[in-house]
Amino acid sequence: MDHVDIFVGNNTMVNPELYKLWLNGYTAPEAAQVQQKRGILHEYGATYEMLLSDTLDHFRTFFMLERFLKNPPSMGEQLVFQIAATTQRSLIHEYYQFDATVIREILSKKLSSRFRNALDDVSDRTRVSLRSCRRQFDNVKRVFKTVEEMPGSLVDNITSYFLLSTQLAQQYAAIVFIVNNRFEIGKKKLAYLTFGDLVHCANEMIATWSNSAKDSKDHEDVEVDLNRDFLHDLRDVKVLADKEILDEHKFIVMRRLQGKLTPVAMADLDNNFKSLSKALVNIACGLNHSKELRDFFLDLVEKVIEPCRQAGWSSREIHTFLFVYKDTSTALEVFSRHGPALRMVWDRYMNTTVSCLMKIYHT
Amino acid sequence: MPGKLKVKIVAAQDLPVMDRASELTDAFVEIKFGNTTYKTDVYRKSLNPQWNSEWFRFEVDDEDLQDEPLQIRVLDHDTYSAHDAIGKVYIDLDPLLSKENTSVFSGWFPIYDTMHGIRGNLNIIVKVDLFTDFNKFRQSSCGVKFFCTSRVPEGHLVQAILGFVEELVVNDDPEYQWIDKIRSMRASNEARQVQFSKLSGQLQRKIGLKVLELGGNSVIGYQQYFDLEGESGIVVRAIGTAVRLARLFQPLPSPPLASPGQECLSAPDQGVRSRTSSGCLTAPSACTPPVSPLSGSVCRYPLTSRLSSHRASVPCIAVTTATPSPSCHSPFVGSSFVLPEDGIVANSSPTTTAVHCTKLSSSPIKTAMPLVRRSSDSDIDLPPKGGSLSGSSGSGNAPIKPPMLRAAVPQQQSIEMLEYPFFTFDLFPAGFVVHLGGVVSARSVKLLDRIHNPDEPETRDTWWMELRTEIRSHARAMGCHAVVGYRERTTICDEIIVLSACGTAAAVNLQMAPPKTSTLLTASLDRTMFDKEQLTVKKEKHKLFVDINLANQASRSHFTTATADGVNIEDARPRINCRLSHIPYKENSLPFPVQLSKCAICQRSKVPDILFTTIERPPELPVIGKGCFIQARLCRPKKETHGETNAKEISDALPFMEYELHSQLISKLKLKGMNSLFGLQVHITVGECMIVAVATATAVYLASLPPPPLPKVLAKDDKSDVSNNHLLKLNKRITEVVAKNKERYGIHPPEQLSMLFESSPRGQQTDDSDEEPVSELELSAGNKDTFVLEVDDAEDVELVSTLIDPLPPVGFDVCNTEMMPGVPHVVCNLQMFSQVWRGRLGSVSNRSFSQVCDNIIRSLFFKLRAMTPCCLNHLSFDVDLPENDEIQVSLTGMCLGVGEPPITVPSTVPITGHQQDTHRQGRGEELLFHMELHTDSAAPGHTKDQLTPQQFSRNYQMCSSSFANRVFLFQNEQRYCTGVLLTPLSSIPGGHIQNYLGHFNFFIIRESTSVREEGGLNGFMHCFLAEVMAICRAHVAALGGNALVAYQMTECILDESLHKNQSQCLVNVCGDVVHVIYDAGLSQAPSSDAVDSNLHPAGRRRVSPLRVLCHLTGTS
Repeated sequence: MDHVDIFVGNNTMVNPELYKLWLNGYTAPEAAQVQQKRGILHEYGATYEMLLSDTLDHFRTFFMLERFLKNPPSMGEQLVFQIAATTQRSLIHEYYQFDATVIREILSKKLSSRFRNALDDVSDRTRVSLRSCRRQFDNVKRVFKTVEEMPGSLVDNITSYFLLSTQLAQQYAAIVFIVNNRFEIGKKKLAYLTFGDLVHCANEMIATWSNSAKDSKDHEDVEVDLNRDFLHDLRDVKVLADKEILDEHKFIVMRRLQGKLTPVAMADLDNNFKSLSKALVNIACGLNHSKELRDFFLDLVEKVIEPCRQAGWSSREIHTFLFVYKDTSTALEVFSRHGPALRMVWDRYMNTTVSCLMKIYHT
Repeated sequence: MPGKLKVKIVAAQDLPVMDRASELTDAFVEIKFGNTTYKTDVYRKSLNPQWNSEWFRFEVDDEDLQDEPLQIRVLDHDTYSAHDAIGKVYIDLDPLLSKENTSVFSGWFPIYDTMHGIRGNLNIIVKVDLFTDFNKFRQSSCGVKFFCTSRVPEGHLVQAILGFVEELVVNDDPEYQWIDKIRSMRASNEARQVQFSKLSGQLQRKIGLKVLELGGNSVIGYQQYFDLEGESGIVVRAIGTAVRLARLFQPLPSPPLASPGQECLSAPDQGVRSRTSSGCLTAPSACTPPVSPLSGSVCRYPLTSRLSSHRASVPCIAVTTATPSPSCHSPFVGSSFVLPEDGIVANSSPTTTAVHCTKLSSSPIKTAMPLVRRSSDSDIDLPPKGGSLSGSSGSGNAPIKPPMLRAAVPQQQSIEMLEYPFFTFDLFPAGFVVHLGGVVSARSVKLLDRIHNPDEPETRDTWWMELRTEIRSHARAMGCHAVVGYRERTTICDEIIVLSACGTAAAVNLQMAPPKTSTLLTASLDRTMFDKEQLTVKKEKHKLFVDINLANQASRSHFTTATADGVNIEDARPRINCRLSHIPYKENSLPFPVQLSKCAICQRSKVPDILFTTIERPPELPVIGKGCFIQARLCRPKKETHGETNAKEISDALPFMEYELHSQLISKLKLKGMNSLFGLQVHITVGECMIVAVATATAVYLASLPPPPLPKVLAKDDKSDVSNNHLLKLNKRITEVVAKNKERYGIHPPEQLSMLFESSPRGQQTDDSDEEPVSELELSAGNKDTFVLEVDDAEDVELVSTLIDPLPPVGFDVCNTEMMPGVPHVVCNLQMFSQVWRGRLGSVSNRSFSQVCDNIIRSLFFKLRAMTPCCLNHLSFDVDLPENDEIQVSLTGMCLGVGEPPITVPSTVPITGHQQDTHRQGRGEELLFHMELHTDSAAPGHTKDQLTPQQFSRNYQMCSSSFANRVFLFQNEQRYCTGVLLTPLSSIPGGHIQNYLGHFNFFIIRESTSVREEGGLNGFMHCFLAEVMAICRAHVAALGGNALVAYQMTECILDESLHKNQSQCLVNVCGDVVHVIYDAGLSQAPSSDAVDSNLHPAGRRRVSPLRVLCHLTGTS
């Protein structure tokens, strides 16, 4: 028969070290060995059996707690374990922590159960244990499924349904946003984008382009979606790709950049301005179509980042250029002709795009 | 129809998904009480249904209110098939039946299913409106309070201690009924739970009736046991001490009047000394202790044969001599064993009783008690069976005592003596116990038979009666008329049951408990005063964080206050403290070989060399150093036989085991350098092919007893295989161990212990007039300085080395009593824990069993490593032998944080407070004594294990810094009590109990047919125990309490058949629900969560996401 050796306390106390090991997918014997290597046995004059039994006690508790961790508000309601409020919070917080590399991998594919079964690849590449990958995958999927169709602020929804800190909730908001809009980020060319880059871009987009952005009208709508009106209006920037306006635009930009860029860069810009400008305008117009929206990052990289990188621009230079490029809109005649609406749409588009570009332009 | 029960179902949350398709549940609730059932509406498609139902009303007899549990079942509605059960909530209505208590149960309860465990929570409100019924012939006893707490409940005053109450009820076990073959496991488990609940309700009601009959209103030290006899049914039995309690709202200032308590304290003493009754002399010979080598074949062991009922009894593993001789193995001469029959030869025990009774009347000692003589069976329905006994005891009450003001009380006139002067509690009001004799115990082996008529459980009653009678006679033999710290246990293996009763023989002073007048005002004032003292002591302990030594001091100095204020100095015995340890028997009629010496404190009276007791250490007895946990373990093989041969084998083995346990205890005690045991509990468990015995106790060095001699190992004869060299080594090692232990536990008795006392001005010679010359005693002092362990061969040598317990790691102190003697400030309640270990023994031997126990304790230290410095109190061991070669050890205990008192309370307060006290009394010597102790123990070397506060704080810092890198999550928060505290202790360090809200007792069953999926047996058990605690907490919270004191988990029985992937576990839990107020500074305000739960029991736990958000932003 089974050997029984259990220890149950009235207050459930959590050993953070063991909790981390558990979250990282260690089995109890593995975790015990890790602790043993740290010299815990010697420190307390214990045997390996005691260590293992202690570890198993904790792991069993974690296992039983997992049900509540998956639905954090129930953690406060459940009566089975008496856990201090702060401990509860940190248990949840830790449970929803993730490895940026793993999430980056997860984001590049659809959250299907088939992908879940194939997480060993992710595990191999990221050197994070499969169990941990699974947990992170499940967390992402769970958070996504829960808040996907909820009205109101993403971050608020996540904090209230998962009791996460604002910082962590923002990251999950970005993840949900990316998953929801199915941004194509699995391409080889985009492989260099880090999770941090994506979070930055997604949060920028949520803040300025989504339904809850301050410029949107119907805040009550689902935040994970981009604001339809904005995308619709954005089509009007197409005029910027007109031949004459393009020339005018180039002239103004070149003049303003005089002295701010190196001569080499200036020469380069002279050649590439039109294609760059066209690319930015086309991306803007295309956002209305979900197919092209998905390729947003790909387009940015292929059409803007790569040419610039080939030209050997520093990020400082590209920054200078993009700001000037964006600001010249005020000087362009088209904008005054179309009234302030177009300029607002352009600024709203460009501010975020520039911010994204700067973030993903790695030199 | 004297009661109306109202139930409202509010809501449920976190229900399991019962409909796979929709992932939702259509829940409704069935409320059942007695034969009436109500239902709520079905709340469709929700896991968090909100019924907010009307009030369901039941009009019921109060008798039913006591017996029946309220059963609330949550079900999933199914249109086409039978409704699926989700789970149940059982509520014992007893706490609502007392007038003082709240009459509302309200809160979230876990919905518990015996097959699935906790499945969501249910919010309900239960109310009881009780109409008072003064019908003389009523069968109910509503309002009698039950306390598991084995002391006078905090904030209460004992007006009268009325004596021992016992009852047992018998019924069929539903698990063994024919219907069990066709019903589902769930149905069977639920039938069982209801049955258990009903039986225990019935039992309480019956005991309550007895208490009312005695004129009491409460039972303290209430102990309830379930004997699952299998085929022959369930026996639920309970014992307790009936008392009349009054609530004490605030301590009055002590009135300066003559304290009769003082008088009566010394009175029995005089009685003992002034007269040597021949009755006492004969008594001991009748029941010679087992360890006595002298008694030869008259030894008590073969009692089995003598009483012609198969009974093995051991009167005392008690105060005995330190030199057991091997010859005592011989007394078990071929006793003609009388085969057990179903009908126990009944007349053997009555005769013995009668004998005792006559003895009684000749002995003056017990007459000091104003006792109520009652029959144990005086149920209303039944004519008292013990009638014959009461006749013979009529002469018992010739008082030697100065007559006291006592109002005549009817019940007292008719029956003058307690039939069984047993007290089931462990910590007594000051002055109650006058002398401690030693441990008395009796066992008997019986064959179980079918109980034919559950209404007349005569055989079981007779069995216990025999045992109690025997215990009583053992106590008499020790010159004691009472047994304190009394307990009864059984172990069952197939058709064999071993009944054991155990207690501490003591001379008590019932005058402590005032005359049984009904009004508090006429109740003698001494009582008030004592309680007040006790209360103030307690208060001080809690408020000012006096460490235990200081508390002792406090109690003593309070005592002095009382005497100084009340009685003239010459009558006063300020050294009440040491008297407890003085022998109650006469020196020339020792009940067993014991070496007497003069009390180290008073230098006058005689004390034994060792004192064993089953009770808590009375605070009046001063200790030196700290106490420590001590355990003797035995495991011996047994042939796999059945029926009577089996019974014979067991009863033959028991005395040897008792003897061995005893000698193990003695040796270990000596090795610890200590001289007394408190809280001794002996558990004997019989299995199919082995018998296991565990004796657990807390050892201390009592200042009044002589220092224990250094153990010495000697080869028995020169021809032994043990080389001299080896012996030398062993002896050296033992010397080292003893020195180490002394160091660790701070045992450094000052040389001039008595001098400190002598120097105090006192007119104390008066009561020493009847002391005999000391010279007689010097004879026994001959070989006092050595304690010899004899070894014959290498095996023995090994045995000796197993006696050497490893020291607990630094930062841990362990004991099995409620209070750890000599441990400084208890800072907080850290953790109540239960540990269950089950496995195979390497071999059926003491050694491997001992190893198992040692490992369990050591792993406990490891598991609790983050808690240091801490103190593990009330460590209780339970051993079960579930299968052939398997052993199950269940362990519960309480981890208390010790350390410096919080800064908010300057540590000087208790001391200055005392100084003021003592100044006021002009009696500084008590303080001096204790200060001496302190400095003395601190002086001999600055070892880190010393117990002075300063050093301890250093130790504390050291420990905490070493753990700094591995501090558990928010340990700081854990240090303070939030939520519901479960504790096996009956008081709460760092807080005081404001209110007792009721007694909680429940039997919980869990079964599983998917053990593997639930994480194996370990997962199953772990989950179950966590759920059991959750159920307890929910009940506590629903009654408006925040702690369950005197928590006990017993009868933890685990059955498994893993090849079928099945297992079943039963657990009985009980305790007293209380509301505790934590002292400011000790415990910070409870977390917002806890506050909520207290304020809005109905609405708590609905932690809105927003509120948690606030927490988050607040902390980040």
